[in-house]
Amino acid sequence: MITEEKVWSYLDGQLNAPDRKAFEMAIVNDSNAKLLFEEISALHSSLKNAALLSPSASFTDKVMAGIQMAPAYTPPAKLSFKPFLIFALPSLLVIAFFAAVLAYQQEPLTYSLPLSLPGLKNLQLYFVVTDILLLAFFIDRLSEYRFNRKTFFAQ
Amino acid sequence: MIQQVLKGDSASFRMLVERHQNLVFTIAFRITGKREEAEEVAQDVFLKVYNNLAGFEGTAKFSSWLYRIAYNTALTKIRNRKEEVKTLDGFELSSTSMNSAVLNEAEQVFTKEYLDKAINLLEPDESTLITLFYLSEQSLEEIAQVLNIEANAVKVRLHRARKKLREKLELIG
Repeated sequence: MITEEKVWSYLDGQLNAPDRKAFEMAIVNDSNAKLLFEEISALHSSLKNAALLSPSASFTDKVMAGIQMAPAYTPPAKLSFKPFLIFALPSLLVIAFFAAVLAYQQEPLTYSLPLSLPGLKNLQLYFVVTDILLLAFFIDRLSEYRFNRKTFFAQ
Repeated sequence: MIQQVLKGDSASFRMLVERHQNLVFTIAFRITGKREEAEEVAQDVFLKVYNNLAGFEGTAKFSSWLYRIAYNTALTKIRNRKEEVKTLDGFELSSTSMNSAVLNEAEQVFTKEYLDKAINLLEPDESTLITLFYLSEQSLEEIAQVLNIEANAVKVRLHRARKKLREKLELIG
């Protein structure tokens, strides 16, 4: 039995040698199969020979004009964010934390910050603020990095 | 050529447009069914390409990337369209052209207009698939990238699309 799918597979060259031979025998001996093959073969050939459609003659000029109207292309500035910062910034946070622990042991400084948090001495507070700033910078750079790496396919 | 465009060489971009415009326009026309809309879509596609060329990572072929943008842009266009039913306004199919699906000895030859009309009655992914398979010499894997489906599914959908195309040809014939 010759099915439409088999005819397409034959035309696409996807049948193996024995199946191909059996198919060719079938279209010789079966008039219905031959008719189906001829019809599909004609369609296949028309599709292969169909010409591409063309836009209007001024198409390229219109595209180029559109580009000139758009902001001139400038290669995006290289991001200052580097993958190694993923490790460097948390390391700084850890160092700052241990420095704060040491400061807790010694309490050497006399200056004061214009804010206070319960349970934290001046120097500790200083490190906490530094940590928060570093963390904010890290999150900012990370989000920008991820945003810029989005692929255009999503559009 | 892409590197030249990235350096700001507009002549290279013009060449790139000229090289790909027919296929981009054909994909757009197969999906929208209207020349005017297809031309708008094709222009939009090349503007997007120009503005996002730096984002092309080269992991796929440039043509696959471009056709995918064309496919998605045309889909967006018809989704935004108020009329939901795809009509054949863009076609001026004369009765003579309908009759010109002639029998050439044993082989039936489908005229271009007759075939265009039937292809435009298919679903967007089906018409794009047929266009890419027959006219762009894209492999099944490359077509899979354009349509954002698995490569195995392309073969199945191609069979389905061609079967449906025959039905449409019978319907309008």
